[in-house]
Amino acid sequence: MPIGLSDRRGQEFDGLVAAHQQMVLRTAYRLLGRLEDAQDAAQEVFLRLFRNQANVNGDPKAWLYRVTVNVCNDHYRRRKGAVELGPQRADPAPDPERVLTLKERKRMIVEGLEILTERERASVVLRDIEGLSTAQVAAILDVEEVTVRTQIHSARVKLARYVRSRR
Amino acid sequence: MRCPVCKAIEGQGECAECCALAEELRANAEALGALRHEEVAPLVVRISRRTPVYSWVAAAAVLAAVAVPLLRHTLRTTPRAAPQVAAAPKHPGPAARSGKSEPIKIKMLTPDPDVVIYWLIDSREGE
Repeated sequence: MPIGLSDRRGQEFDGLVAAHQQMVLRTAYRLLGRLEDAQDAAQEVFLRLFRNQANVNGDPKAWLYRVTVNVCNDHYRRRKGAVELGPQRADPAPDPERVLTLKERKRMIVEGLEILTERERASVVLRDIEGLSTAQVAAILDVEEVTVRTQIHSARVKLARYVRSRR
Repeated sequence: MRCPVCKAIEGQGECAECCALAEELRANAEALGALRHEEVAPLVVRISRRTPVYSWVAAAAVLAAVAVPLLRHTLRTTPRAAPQVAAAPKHPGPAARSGKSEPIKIKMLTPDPDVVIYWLIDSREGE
């Protein structure tokens, strides 16, 4: 997807991509669960940034997070329509007392993100993985802070139960 | 969060189920935080600089150099669909000699070699 750019505008855009691509990619990857999908989504996000560069003043972080969540939600819905995805079936004989390594737990959490609702997933990714404040997450998702707290609480409990059921 | 069992045993600590869930939540919080520091494979954003005008001119010249001879060749080899009129018989037939006019037969060739149109014209017509 080559984009024709003047030198100055191109340099500004290059700078924005370099500064924020890990943040956008990481968020998209956690929301979508697949690297290829995350890269497609990130391309779309930066294309939108390019088109709206003049309207995005100051630090574009919040704008990028919002657009990333929207693009990923669209992507996720399209993907759900094409192929029904879901977490793998639980082990037939799970052992809830088994101690998980950090790596195993991270993998299970990433799997478990699939069972959350769109809003819960976005809230927990932004709050717990990206480390934003509840107020920032509320502003990005355009909801009340109390709604974000409820969604995060619900998401955390679902994830905890999911991990427990998958051991 | 208080489950019914915990409420029932208020003041005596929490039930095993709640303790297990609380422990899971704590461990998950640690794992979620660790996910924050994971690097994801870098994005390939292909950005091309604005293409100079002369490159468009060069592209147009190349296109013309290829397209014009091709177009000429195509026009030259296209079969003509115009009908060919066969010559009328040079010598009058027996009917003509006897004073009866015979219809003029015009053979029309079509682009399809299997289709030939014969057109019979009464020679007295227009007399």
